[in-house]
Amino acid sequence: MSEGSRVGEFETLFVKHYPRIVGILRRIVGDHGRAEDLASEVFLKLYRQSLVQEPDGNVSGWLYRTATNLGIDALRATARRSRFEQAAGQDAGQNKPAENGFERVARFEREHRVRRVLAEIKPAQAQLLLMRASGNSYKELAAALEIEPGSVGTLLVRAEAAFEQRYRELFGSEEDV
Amino acid sequence: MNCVSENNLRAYHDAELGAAQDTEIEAHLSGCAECAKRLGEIAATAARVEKQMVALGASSAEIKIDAQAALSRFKAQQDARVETMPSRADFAAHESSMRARGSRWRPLWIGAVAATILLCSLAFPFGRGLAQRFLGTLRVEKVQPVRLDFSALDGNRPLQEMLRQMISDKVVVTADEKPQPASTAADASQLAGFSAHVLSARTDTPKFIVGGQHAFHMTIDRTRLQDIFDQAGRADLLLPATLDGANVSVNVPRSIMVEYGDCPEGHPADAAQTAPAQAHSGAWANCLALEEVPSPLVNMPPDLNLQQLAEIGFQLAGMSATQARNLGQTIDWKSTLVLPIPRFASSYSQVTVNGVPGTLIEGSGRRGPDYVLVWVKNGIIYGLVGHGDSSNAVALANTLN
Repeated sequence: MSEGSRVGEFETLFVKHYPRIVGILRRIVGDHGRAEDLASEVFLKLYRQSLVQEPDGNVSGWLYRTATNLGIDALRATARRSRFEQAAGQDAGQNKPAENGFERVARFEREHRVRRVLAEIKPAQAQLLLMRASGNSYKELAAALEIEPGSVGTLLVRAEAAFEQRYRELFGSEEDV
Repeated sequence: MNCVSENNLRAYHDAELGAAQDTEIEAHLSGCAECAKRLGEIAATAARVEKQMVALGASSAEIKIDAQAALSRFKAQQDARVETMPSRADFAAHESSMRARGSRWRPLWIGAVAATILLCSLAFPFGRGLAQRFLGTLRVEKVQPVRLDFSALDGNRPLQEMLRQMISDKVVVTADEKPQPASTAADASQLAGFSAHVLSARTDTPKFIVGGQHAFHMTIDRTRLQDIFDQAGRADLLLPATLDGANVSVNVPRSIMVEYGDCPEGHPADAAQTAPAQAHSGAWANCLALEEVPSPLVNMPPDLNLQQLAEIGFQLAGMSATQARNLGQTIDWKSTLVLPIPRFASSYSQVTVNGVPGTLIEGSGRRGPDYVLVWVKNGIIYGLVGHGDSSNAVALANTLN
């Protein structure tokens, strides 16, 4: 395939997958601008790769894997950097404002807690949970994450257990949220 | 049926198993309280975690994403990236300055170091004026000419300074012998430790010079090398983590140079630059030099991925990722001498010399055309450097006895 037609193919892939990739990154990092930046990074990697070789059948899986990797990295970096700020924010959140903003604050708080837990469990487990929550089948998960199809169930059970355990350690029972 | 595995219980819950397996599991569950209980727990945990994960998506659902606009932004960023690369005019200006400085075959050297060090290559004294490099070579068996040009990096003074500094900090030279003359082929052979070959087509008595042994070792500092890449404007090229701390040692054995005819002081390949007054005079037209170097030895950690490193090097030399990959894949990195062809070499071609593939590089110095023919046979790298017409170069080389 010529370089020109690979560029053409890349653009097609970009338009097709970009919204979903921004979507999953948005879920992971919780900030739209940051998600678009990271998505751009994901596609830059693809751009370099697609110039090198014809994309194989699993571009979608590759994109998800790369995006979740980058997203989780970013999440972990943020968690390290701003643990103090987040702790301060948490206090403010507990100081519940009046009815009007209550739902919004509760949602924000809940998202924040989930991200915190995702940042603290094993990245591979966080990645599996995020990709499963994005509606990937076991087959797709196995292909994208390069794991045995026959172990997806076990890995999910373990990841969920790890998630719940860390959540309880950090925040107590989730019913408190 | 035995109890159902955790994996299958989870997959059953997600309806990821086939109908046949579902039926089997259902039959088991109806009679096994333990499995049924475990399934209940798994399902409950899955539901709770899913609820949490879904919560993450709630606030992004309403945002509309314009992929076309994003693609335009992406392309604009790519263009900006390309524009920061040096222009062709820079290359041309650089070339002429290199020629004027009389280092015709050397311009690759400094710029190449960033790539070549990590590729475990070096400029070895293969024809004094003819700096050759080879890449991560255990034993050179063949030659692969590659058009590379690191000269874009040469104009970058901070980069050169960083490279020089790194080399002086990190490279430990353990052998750097001076060349010494030998009166006969037998003497040269004894001194060099391998048999000197001569060209039987030339009946005049040649001059023999035995080139010294050169050896060095170094420990690779990945962070420092990456900083150098950043300075070279290629922060996008990421060096593998396995490179850090890698110990690389290089040993170039003694070589033999056989000089025929009326050759200039120094090496014939230097002639074009060292004696501009004699330009086009036709002097040294009968000068012919044959260089013989046993394959240099390179030791490096076995887990270094030479192809990956070489591709990074090629990209540093201005190739696209595609070109670098395509080229990298064609080369057996354990046994190939990668011969960088300077941009100003007018042409090069693949030929057959003494029954093996060789590369004939033709250039035009100030005093007319000259050529270098390179081939590898029985572990010895041969280079035939001549002035004038290159059409009989292969025939001459074929008379190697």
